[in-house]
Amino acid sequence: MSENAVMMGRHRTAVIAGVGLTEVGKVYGRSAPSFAAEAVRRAVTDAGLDLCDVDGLLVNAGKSSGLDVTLARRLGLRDLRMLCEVNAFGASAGIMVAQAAGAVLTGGADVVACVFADASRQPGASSGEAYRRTSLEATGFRSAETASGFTSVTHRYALAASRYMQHYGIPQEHLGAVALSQRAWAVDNPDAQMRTPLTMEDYHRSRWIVQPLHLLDCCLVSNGGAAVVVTTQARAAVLRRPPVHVLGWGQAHPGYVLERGSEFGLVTGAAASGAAAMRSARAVRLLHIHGTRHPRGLRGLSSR
Amino acid sequence: MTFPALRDSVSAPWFDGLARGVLLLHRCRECGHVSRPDVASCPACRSDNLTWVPSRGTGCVVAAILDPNPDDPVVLGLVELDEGPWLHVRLLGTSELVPVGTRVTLEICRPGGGEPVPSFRIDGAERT
Ligand SMILES: [Zn+2]
Repeated sequence: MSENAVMMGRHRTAVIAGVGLTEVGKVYGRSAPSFAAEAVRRAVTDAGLDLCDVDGLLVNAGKSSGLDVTLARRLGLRDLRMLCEVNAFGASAGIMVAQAAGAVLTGGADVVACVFADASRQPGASSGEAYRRTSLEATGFRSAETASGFTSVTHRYALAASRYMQHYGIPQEHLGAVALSQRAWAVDNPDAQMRTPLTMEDYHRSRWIVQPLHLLDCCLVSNGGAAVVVTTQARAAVLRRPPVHVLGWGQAHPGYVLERGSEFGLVTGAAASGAAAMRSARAVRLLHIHGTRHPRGLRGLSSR
Repeated sequence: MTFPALRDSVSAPWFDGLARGVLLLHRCRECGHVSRPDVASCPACRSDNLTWVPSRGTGCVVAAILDPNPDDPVVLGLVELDEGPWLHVRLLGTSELVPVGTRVTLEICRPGGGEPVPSFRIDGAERT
């Protein structure tokens, strides 16, 4: 079925009409709200809209503080019909777009800006330090794990990776293949930070962060902001950019119990959420799987 | 760098147990299911009618990781207690990753001079 045929069956479709990205990476001296404001302004401009047209704002804050719904005031937004913070950790971006799409389809809002920004990276500090803070603030039961050495979320990702690799007999090279293919995409992307081609030897030589995760298995922690503008197909028809149609979305959180028989590290919700999202998308030619550590991408792929 | 464990009101009985040399687990009064100390409802029946029971302190490794931090290299792991619950703990008596299924026994430590925490020594490993 052609893309048009899929679209024609729909009375009203949500679309992404504009994208805004600030400078991203080791960008210091700016706060998360400052990045967020710039990203929203860029996305709205990219769509050919004005900030006055925005009647919905969804905000996802990163690890740094200060970014919340007061961003609306900072941007001078008035008479919003939708305003809230969204946090589902790494799933936040997709969930914001799904909530915005739902809102424009049901008439809750017409033009919704979804923004993420962070400024958690400090000059001279490592990516790991930005991720470590939440673990170290633990008290009670959780603090016993921190005291034992689980001082960052990377330790937990490493544990899941270790179980996944042992259970399915996944060699280290398979994780390396994910790093190499992601870098290959980055090489062609002028907005990417790491654009030097990577070999499997480079991968194996990169230091262990927490074995079985090499440095090159882990994501960068970057300062910056990104936003998209979600609106209806009808509204986007007269705007300056060809719209990107949001055809479907779905969530699945299977959950696991940490006890005998647990599937911790072995399954994700991708099989269920992917099927839900693709109900109306008949021909999927490109699949993007998000994961802050590469084993998550592998698990997501194998879930289908 | 070590980060001492800090008790709060909910975890106080558990840390008190460790101070007496006992690792406490939750046991459901409704269905008898034994679960981790940090659950707020029974994973089997969702009841909050939970009591504390001592663990035998024996189990096996489910997954292990190695933090090569030069100040304090450590092997950490998920341990499955013989009662069923899994705990995130430090593994003692090894400087390398150990296979899944390796048998371990409770050894209580006080990292950083804070509250006592459960660690597990590889069975048969020499004390250092
Ligand atoms: Zn129960």
